[in-house]
Amino acid sequence: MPSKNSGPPSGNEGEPLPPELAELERLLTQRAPAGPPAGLRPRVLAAVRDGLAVQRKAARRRSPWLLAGQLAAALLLCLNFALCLEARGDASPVGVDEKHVAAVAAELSRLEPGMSEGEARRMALLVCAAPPAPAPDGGLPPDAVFDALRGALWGTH
Amino acid sequence: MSDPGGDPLLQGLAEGREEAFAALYDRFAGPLWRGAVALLGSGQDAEDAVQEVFVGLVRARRELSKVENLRAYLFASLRRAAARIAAARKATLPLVAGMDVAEKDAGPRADDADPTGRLERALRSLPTEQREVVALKLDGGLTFAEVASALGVSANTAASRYRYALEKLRAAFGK
Repeated sequence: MPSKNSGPPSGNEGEPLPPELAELERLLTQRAPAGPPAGLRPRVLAAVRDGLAVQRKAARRRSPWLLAGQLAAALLLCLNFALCLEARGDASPVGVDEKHVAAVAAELSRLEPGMSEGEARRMALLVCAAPPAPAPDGGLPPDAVFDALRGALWGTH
Repeated sequence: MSDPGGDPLLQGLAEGREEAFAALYDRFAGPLWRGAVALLGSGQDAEDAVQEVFVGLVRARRELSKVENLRAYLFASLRRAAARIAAARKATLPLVAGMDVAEKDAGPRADDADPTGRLERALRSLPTEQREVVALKLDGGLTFAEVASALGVSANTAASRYRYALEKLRAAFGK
């Protein structure tokens, strides 16, 4: 039994083998049988053909169920989407003060009488959802700015 | 070889085309057969092992895109098939077991004078891990890197096992 420390391992890809091992390697290579028997090729290819046929049959059996599953998943998605749209409707977003929205919508309707009730509500929701605009003049409170603007636009002052 | 689209043979195998399997057989059946004979010591078992490799390839054909080295992959499959067949026959080294009985019953073997027969007997007396390396290297024609990949060991370990196997064979053969 050779020692594990008897030098680096080698074969015909590393260091050359010592002559006696190289001769043994040559004998081992020569002793190998020439090739598989002629009957093995048709036997193996027949087994391959059978395996592929089984796979194709299984795929055909599976495909109607796969199609049905995909259709069911698509239907569920559509249904879910439709239900979501219906549920949203004109419902107020969470956290919005409904009284404030109604007041803004009323004010908008008053200022623009041609605006439909639904449109006024949608605009009011947008107004309420938007972050408060920075005051144009830091020295004036927002109400004072609004009064000044109203006076300038409609001459109420 | 990780992209089957780049290798028409791998692409054909992945698509399940019979002519691709035929081409693969023509390219690798010889080394696979010789490796199987060396591993199993029986022509009939070697035929079963080679067939099992190809049937397994049909089952796993869609996974071939992950194969880095087809030759090493085939011999790794062959090794597993050989192990299954040997286990099914309840003997890892059927001919060695047979030889033991023959030696007890008949005294000196008829092939003792034949160097090839002595070499064959010495080869079958090697530990499995060393016999595998010799089978894959010499009979399968694999490089040490491919042997290492097929066996799941490092290339240095594969080369060490090969060297130790040759030294053990020389000792046994020289007796």
